[in-house]
Amino acid sequence: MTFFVVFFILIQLGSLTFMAAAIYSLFKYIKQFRFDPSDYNLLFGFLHLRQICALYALLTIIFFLYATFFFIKHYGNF
Amino acid sequence: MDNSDKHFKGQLKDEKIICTFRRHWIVIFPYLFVLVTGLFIFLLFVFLEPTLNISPLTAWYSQLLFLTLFLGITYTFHRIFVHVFNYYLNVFIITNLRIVDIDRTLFLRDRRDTFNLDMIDDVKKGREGIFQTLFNFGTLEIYLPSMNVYKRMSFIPAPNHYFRCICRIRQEYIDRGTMKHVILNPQHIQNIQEISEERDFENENAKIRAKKLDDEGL
Repeated sequence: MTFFVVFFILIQLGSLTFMAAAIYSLFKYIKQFRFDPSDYNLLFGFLHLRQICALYALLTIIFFLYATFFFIKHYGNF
Repeated sequence: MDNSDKHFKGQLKDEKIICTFRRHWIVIFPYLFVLVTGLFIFLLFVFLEPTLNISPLTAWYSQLLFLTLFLGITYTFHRIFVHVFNYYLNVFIITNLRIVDIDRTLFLRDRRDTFNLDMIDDVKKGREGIFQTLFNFGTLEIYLPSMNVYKRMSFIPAPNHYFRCICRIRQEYIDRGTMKHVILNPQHIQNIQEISEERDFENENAKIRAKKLDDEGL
C-alpha cells in the first residue's frame, strides 16, 4: 500500500470517528438538557438538535461512500 | 414538588423554568450558506463526473491535489457542523430564581454563569440598524452592582420579549419577599456612611447653637 492509499484511509477513518464522537457528545447533552421546544430554542423555530445530528450522520456517510467509490474508480491499483 | 435536575443539570429544588432561548439564527447563517452551496456543488459534481474525463490518480501531483482537496473539503464539512452544534450548545435559561448562561462547545469548552435575581440591578435592551430591526434581534445588558459589571448578551432574538420577561420575574421575585439581602456597591455603602456622619455632625451643631441661644435668653 502506498502513502497515498494509507493517507486516504486515515482521513476517512478520522472523519467517521469524529462524527461518532460528536454525535455521542451531543446525545449526552440532549439527555442533560431537556427543554420544552419553542420558537426560540429551535433553529428557525422548528429544527431540533436531533434532526441536525441525523442530517450530519447522513451527509458524512454519503460523502464517505462517494469518496471511496471515486477513489476506487480512479485509483484501482492497490 | 422537587425540580432538582428536572430540565437541566444543576436545576434547584424550587426552581421553575420560565423560558429558554438561544442566539438568533443569523450567527450561523454564513456557515449554513456555505453548507448549502457546498452540497449543491457536490451534487453537480456527482452528476457531471462521468462527462468530465478525470484522469486516473497515478501521477504524484494528481494524488497530492486529490488528497489536499479531499482533506480541505472534509475539514470544512465537519467544521461547519461543529459551528451549528455549538450554536445549539449555547443557551440562556430564565428561571424564577436566576438567569443561567450556558456557554459550551462540543469538546473543549464548558462554562456556566448564573445571576441570581437579587444581584440584578438594571436591565438594558438595544436593537440598532437595519439587520437587527429586520430580523428582530438585539442585545440585552444586565448590570450586576456587586461586581460592578454589565453582563452583555448579544444576538438575542426578540429582545423586547426577554427584556420584559426579566423585568417581570425580578419584580415578582421582590414581591414574593425572597430577596434576603440587598448587595450594595461598596462605594454606595461608603456614601451612606458619609451622609449619615454629616447628618450627625449637623444635628450636634444645631443642638449647640440652640443651647447658646437659650443661654443668651433669645
